[in-house]
Amino acid sequence: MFLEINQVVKSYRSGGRKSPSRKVLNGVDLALEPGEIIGITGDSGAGKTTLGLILAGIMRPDSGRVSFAGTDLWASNATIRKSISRRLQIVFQHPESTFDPQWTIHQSLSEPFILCGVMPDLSILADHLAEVELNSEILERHPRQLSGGELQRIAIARIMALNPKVVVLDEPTAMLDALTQARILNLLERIRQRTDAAYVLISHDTDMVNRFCQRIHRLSDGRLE
Amino acid sequence: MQPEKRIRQTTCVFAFLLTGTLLGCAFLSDMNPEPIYTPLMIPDYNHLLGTDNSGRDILALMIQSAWISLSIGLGSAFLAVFTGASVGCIAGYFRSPVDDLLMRLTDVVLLVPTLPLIIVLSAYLGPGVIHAALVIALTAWPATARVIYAHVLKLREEPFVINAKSMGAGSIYLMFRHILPNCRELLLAKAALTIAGAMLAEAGISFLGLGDPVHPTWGSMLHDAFVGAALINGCWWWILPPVLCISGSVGLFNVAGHFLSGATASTTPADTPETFSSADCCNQADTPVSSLLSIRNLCICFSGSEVPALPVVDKLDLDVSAGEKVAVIGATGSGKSLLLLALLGLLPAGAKVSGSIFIEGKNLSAYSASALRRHRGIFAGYVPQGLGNALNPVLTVGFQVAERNRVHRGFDRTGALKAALSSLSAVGLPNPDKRISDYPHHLSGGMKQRVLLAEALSVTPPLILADEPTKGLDHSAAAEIMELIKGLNTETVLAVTHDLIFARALGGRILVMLAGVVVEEAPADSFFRSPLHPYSRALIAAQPSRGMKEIAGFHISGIMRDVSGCPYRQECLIANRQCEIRPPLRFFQGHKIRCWHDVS
Repeated sequence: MFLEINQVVKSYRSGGRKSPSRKVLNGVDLALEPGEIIGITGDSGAGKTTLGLILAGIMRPDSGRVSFAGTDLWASNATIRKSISRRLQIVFQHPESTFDPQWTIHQSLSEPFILCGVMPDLSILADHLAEVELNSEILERHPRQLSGGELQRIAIARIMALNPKVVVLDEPTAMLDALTQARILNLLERIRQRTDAAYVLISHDTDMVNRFCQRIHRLSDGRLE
Repeated sequence: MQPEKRIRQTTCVFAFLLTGTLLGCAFLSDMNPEPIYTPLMIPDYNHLLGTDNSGRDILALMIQSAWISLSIGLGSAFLAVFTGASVGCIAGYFRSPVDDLLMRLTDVVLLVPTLPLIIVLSAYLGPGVIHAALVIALTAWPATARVIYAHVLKLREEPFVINAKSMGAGSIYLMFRHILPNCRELLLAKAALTIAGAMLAEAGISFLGLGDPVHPTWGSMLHDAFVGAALINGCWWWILPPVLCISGSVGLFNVAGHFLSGATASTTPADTPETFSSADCCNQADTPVSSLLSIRNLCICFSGSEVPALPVVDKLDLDVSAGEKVAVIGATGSGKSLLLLALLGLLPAGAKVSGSIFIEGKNLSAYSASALRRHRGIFAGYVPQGLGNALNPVLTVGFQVAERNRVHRGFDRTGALKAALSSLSAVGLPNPDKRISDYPHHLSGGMKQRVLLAEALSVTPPLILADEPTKGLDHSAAAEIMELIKGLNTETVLAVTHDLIFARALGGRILVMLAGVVVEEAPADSFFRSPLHPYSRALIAAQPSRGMKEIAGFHISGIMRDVSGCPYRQECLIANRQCEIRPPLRFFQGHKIRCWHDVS
């Protein structure tokens, strides 16, 4: 098991600090193997996105353990946590909001390299774009000048630059048409075969999840079925 | 959009030119007290603004004061904005407990009445340019802190910040690379407004006699004028110049601030954009037809400086007869949602529309902006996209549905609520009498969609425009909404959707759009059985229920958004040189397709 969560609990307060809290996740267990694709479905508001954020190491659960390759993520120090969280990445539903609106695609795509202390040259960026079937001409554009499908592919190229081991796909194609959706999922599948990353696909489109995933869980009443 | 932008830029340039000029004047003029002339001379050729009671030249004094007034204004604004931005950023980004400490401190400073505090502090610290700037900054920073705090709270939850964080970005990096640059316009606007406020506050302090007697300012000139009884003696040249300078510069900085804050509020829908101007995109064709909705030669384009003005919707013709159900499907960004907004006259600012739209034989271009506003809910009911934000979170469901009855049918409060109750039960909302007083967050996604539909249906419009009515719903809820819309027997429905199952179930006509043009139009049954256009075929084959087959992958150059050729030619497997010319929409095997090839 290289990513494992045990008895994860997360609750939200509906109002102010004294309002009662609602347990969105109530003792969730999940384990992932390398190269595996699992699907998580559930009704709107069932806590799918919360689970995604916890799996991606972005949100800290109220209780329970998130461990990557045997290391407890939230019990580790900041340096270890940073190096683990680079291995866990997430693709969001709205591609346009995952890019800083002030930045060009060049700047956004360079960000993972810069954060790892490398200044990427143009040919590296062009290679990453070619992997998601995009032309390097778009590097000088701003996010508002690109379509949803193009932005989502750039978002995928950007996280793949970090060579992640687990990629959480939170409704990655909900905003896109069927053709773009199929092409993006097929593209992700090709990347997975090359990199052996594990995917967690969160969606309420059961047809798509059935088609794409090897194992499917349904989230309801804060537990995985 | 363009003229507005120009005004904003001009005002800002003007404000900065004024600052520059005045600072320049101050350096050029003799900083020492001028030679003593005859006191209270009226303006003449030698002394353009006359002299005061000590015999100082008022023009020279004005220029000298400008330097001090502006320095205090700029200095205190810089200090206030810097402090406010730092406090707001740190509190908003790091949250509790830093947030609690800093924001409560901000609240306390905000609670203290500003003017008395300035007076007390000025009297305590004594006169001096730096003292004045400090005192004003001390009272001005909380306003900036509050605004920046609210903006940072929003920014820190943005996916691009979360993404950078998950890539290993630290707090300092996030603050300086993502958060602060996205607060830039807001900070500039706040700075301009704070300069105006600070100059006014300084004028107030000096006018009360608490200013620095060694360094004259416009405010202290006014003080001198009043003490020297300029008003009683009729020395207008002594009073008017400082008054005009104070009000002029404060006004200018205020205007600049407001324009800048207007620039930060992004795409607000223009009530009527440059609607139905027949020029620019293409020519207008005037054809009133008998069908319920008739669109002729509709073109929508956006005028922007960065991208050439290519039409987002290009020469679209559509007729929908009464009772018909039409589903518009197609690629993301192909102009489907804009088509619906154009029918309502609610396109975003900067959109240019040409062509004609007739609903029940009435030409929409003939309506004025206010007439269009009155008729909007009546000729077409709109079911907006987005379950999360289409309903107002602070109003009850009943109130929101009743609102339409009050506005369009003139019902009183009780009558409107009664009508709302019947609309809500008509769309099958469970326990409508109880649900009517619920707030949107009490409802599930499917229920919210029912409420939106009830809202659109409440005035019984002849046409329902639905934008992605099943998006975000799970299978069972989507199926229920599908049945509900299908069951609207007498209603005419024009729905835009990515949900091909819904499009098929609606059972009417299918319109496939790609890059702003219709590439295929066919009855739903026949379309889903045998789509003809290569793009339609690829779209249908890509459905998860059909195995997500990918007929052709992404082309590295993507969809061709130009006006000359077939938009699908880059990705199409059967494209040839002929496809460089845009094919017309032609009849082929009972469908209308935009393709040169024999696609049977």
